Amino acid sequence: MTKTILIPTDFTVKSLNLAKIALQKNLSSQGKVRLILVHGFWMSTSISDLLFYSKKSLLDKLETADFRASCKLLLGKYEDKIDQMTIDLFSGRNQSSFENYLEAHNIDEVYISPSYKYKLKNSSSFDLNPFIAKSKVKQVEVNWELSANHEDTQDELSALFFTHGQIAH
Amino acid sequence: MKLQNKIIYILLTAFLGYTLLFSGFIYYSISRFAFTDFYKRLEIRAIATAKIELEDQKDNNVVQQLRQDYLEPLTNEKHLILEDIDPDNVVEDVRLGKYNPSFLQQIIARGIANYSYKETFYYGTLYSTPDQKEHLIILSAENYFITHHIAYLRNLIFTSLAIAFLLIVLFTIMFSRKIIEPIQNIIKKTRKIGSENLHMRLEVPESNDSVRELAKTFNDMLNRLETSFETQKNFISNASHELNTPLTSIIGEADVTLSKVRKPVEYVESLNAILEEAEKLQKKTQALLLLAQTGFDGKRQKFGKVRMDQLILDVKETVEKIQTNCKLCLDFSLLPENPLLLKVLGNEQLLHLAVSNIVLNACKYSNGQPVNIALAVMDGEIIVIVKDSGIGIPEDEMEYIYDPYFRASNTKNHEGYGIGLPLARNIIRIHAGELRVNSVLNKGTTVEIRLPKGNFVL
Repeated sequence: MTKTILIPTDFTVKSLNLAKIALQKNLSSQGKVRLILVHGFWMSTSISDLLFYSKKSLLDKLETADFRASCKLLLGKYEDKIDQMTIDLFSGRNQSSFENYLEAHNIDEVYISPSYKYKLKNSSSFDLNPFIAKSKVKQVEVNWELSANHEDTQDELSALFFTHGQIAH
Repeated sequence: MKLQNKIIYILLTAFLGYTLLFSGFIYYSISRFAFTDFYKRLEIRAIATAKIELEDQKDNNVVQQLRQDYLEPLTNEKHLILEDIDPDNVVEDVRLGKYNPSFLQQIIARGIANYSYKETFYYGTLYSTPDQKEHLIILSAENYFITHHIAYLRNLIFTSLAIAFLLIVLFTIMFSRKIIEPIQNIIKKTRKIGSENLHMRLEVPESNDSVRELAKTFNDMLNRLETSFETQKNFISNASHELNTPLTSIIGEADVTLSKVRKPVEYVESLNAILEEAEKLQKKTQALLLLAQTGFDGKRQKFGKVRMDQLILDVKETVEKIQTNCKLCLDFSLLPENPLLLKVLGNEQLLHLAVSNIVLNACKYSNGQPVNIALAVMDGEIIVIVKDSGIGIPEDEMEYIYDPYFRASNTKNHEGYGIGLPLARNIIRIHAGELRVNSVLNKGTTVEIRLPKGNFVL
């Protein structure tokens, strides 16, 4: 049976640690995993923007090279486990639209990290955590600490490694 | 011949040939059409004239009316009607003397004929009235269209050809300049690069074309040149740097052992330690010799399968022996399940030297804080990440870190020669890999080694 997991992301390599932990935890269970990396993004209200709206080009703009490389790393490592890995934008404005989104995508679990603060690089981006907190879907809280005691300013490939406490609390 | 001129000539001939062909075709078909059209007009007039002259008065008025109303008279229109002729000997008729004999014969034979002489066009036909009599009608007129319109068309085509020629010349010159320009730039830049500034590189243009390929190829060549230049230049310093560590421990071991008389077991132990160090020394001299050779001749490198995870474990062991206070943490959490993806085509000693140099640097400058090493595979690339939380590199000194003997300004308290990183980069370059260094002062340095995966099969 395929399990669908929703993971909020802000297109930083660090946020992919959630995906990594989710995959590690599901490694022993049977069946494949479908990952949906979702990012909250307000839709523009301008008609011309909506006319030329393309999710692909928008995602191209938001994703960084290191983020893409990290996704490929995860795909390479868990290629037998991952059924599908998609990156999606959520543009709803209220709780019910989020519930709708969860239902439409058959989400079984949502992984969140209370300690990780999302870095919203774009002014239209928004934090999905309040929606997730109020939703009825099963939530898995995980925490990880960077081994380095300082907060990294750069977002680089190494952010996906050297995390301790990979088991959820 | 210059390439630019060549491009101009080729484009000119192609474009001009095309325009000539095109306008020639138009001229030919228009004049042909004018001929056939004019003969048709003559035919209508001939028949109308015959009807008026030869048939009953009753219908004639209508036809005459029609002719006056709708058929404009042609320039120099003349007609000749021979009534009730005998087809066999009409050709000898005196009145037909001024016409071409073969035209007359054709009229008799086929019933219709036409020809043109100078600007006058002739049309002849046999017309039979209801009372079974044959009549010969010949109509002649000048073709105004041919004489005036075609001449105008000809002039038009010639002027447009001249304009087109000018435009094409202009266009081809501009085009060839545009094509040649990036190549000229490359030539200019390449001339500037000499043995004293081999670190300079050509700008690789954004567009995905052959010029980009050319610039890239030049840069690759410069990379190889620089590598071999540097390895030659720095061979002695590299050698002394690399050989120093085992030599120091050999001397130290021997010194301590000789300080007083010892038991045989202790002698064996210390001799073993010395032997181990000496073997290490031998391995390093071999590797350095190899490195020196790569500078002269790429064929002498012995490349084989190297498993990166094994290599990193070896490096860990080596480094922990040299820097005893160093904490190394390995992160293999994203290793792929397929071991083939971890194999690199390369020389194990050289790669070992490169990775251990980087890890040793990380240990040396992190003051006992743990150093992290991770290994991952992505898209045919094997990535080794070495991350420390040490003193970092000042931002404005980042561009010099690959210069031999360069040491950052904050390394005064640490012993070193400024050789490890350039050496490592040379080795990575030999393996067609890439070395990236990211650093924040006083926070730490991250080194990424990217090596292409070897194409091995099980």
